[in-house]
Amino acid sequence: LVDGQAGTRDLDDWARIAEVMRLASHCGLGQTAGNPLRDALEHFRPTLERRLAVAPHPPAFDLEAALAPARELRAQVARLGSNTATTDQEPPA
Amino acid sequence: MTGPAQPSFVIDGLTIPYRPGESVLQAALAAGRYIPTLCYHPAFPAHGSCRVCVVQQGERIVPACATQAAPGLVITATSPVLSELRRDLVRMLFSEGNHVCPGCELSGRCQLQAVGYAVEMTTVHYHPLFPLRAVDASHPDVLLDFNRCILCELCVRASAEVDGKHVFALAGRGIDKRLIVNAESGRLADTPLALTDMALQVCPVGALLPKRRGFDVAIGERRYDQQTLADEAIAAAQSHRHER
Repeated sequence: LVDGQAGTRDLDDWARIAEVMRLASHCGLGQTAGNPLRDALEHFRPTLERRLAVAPHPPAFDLEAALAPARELRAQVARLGSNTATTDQEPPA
Repeated sequence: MTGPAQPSFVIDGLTIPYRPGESVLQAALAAGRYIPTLCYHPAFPAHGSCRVCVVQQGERIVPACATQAAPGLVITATSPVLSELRRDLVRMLFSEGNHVCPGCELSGRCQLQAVGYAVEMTTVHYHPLFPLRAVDASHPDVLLDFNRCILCELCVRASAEVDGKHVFALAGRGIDKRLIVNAESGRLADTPLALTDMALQVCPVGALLPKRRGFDVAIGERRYDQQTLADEAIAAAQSHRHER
């Protein structure tokens, strides 16, 4: 993170490691050792995210919008199919 | 069958009979319910260090190997939280050392690898640390590969308690913790370790290997090709209970 090499996955990994230590450690030292990290992630996440190599951003590609025309076509085909049920035959072998 | 006064507790809603003094893990295994472990061996007291056998007792998460079975105990051993926890603990072990299963002589009969399968681990996920650890090949009959050591302390315990030689010890703290050899030179050659020592038998990974024997069992006929680690652990626990 300090070198500007970290990604969002690293932040998630740190949080998970701290959580695993809290849950599975034998003594209080291990259970609480991750607390500073947990607190930093909870309270200073935007500050940390500004230092990520790739900042989190909404994807430029909108999957829903891209699929909309195809979905509309499928809906039209379905409507046609229900109107003329006789066309719904086995395709030729 | 069992006597009328056999005490019992509950794991995942099932009644598990136990003998006084047994741990949750011992009773579970003897009853045919597998809980993955790495640092546990039936011949030694619980170590509680690998944490892979974690189960839930009320709100608390405890190691099954170091939890005494008691009447009325209610244990959850199977849950998504515990599965994820075990998987992450094993992943961390893999990322901490240099565990290259395809090139390892113990592949197919390695407990770490078998537990990896048992907890349904598909990737290491965490960044591997790639520690630099030199191999100790000084001993005429035994290879000591620190890269594969998971610090379960089984060789330490076996060498001290069974072999009576105190060949191994763990030194350092935290990420610097490492297996050391009890000799002025620090080399395995200068210890009384012998090929027949129990220390070699108990190593769950390929850290302690006999020399001049390699890949001598065909894939498909290796230890965990023949039976799963779960079946092996259950059988070992049942025969161990029978002996006592």
